[in-house]
Amino acid sequence: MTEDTPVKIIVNCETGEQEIIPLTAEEIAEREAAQAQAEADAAARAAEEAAKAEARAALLARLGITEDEAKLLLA
Amino acid sequence: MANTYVSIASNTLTGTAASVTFSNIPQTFTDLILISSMRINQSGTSFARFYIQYNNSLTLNYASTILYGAGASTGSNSLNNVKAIYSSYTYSTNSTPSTNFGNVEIYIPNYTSSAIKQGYSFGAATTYADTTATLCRLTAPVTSITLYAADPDIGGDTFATGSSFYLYGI
Repeated sequence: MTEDTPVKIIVNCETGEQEIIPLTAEEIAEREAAQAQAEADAAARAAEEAAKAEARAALLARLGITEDEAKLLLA
Repeated sequence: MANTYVSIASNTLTGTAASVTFSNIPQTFTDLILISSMRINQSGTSFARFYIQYNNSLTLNYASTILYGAGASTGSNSLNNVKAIYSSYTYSTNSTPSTNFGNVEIYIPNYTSSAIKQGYSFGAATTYADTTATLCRLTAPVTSITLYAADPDIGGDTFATGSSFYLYGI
């Protein structure tokens, strides 16, 4: 086990025994894959939000109104 | 409700850990309270959420309704049919000083019953505080509680060294 190997702690309430168990290679691989997917999903959402913001700004510019004026119209 | 807390078990991390589990919880109390002082290693953030599962099950159905205050802002969030309780926020990597630890309380009433488990968690970390109504559709006694530093489906984060966890029975 290297210093960087993630571990899980199990405290047995019946015996008081505490175990420090290194995650298996499979568990680590699952975590890393899931984390990479989560980061990709977050990047995709950020890109989508940025595109929406750009489209909104372009529309406001075309209409010649500000964000606050648009909110007033929709209120 | 009894007027005393009985200590069941505790753990203070001497290194980082992806999760902390209290197993073989005695079934002799009415309610459980888990109190923690914790910090999460999650890069790029000042606050991070931790997650709770009962009985080591990823297939149980959980829900959380969160009311929070962040600085002068407030908000709410609700999640249903998820694989863990999305619990309170605490300090994480970008929060300085590194001695900042958030305070958390998790309450599980009637944990030995065959009814679904409804409880709450409180979290406070100076500029952030929240109350979370928790639900687990577990119709059996709670025999173990696992706290994860990251969404069990995502992983990657760990509880910081020095994080402490205390389980009490009422």
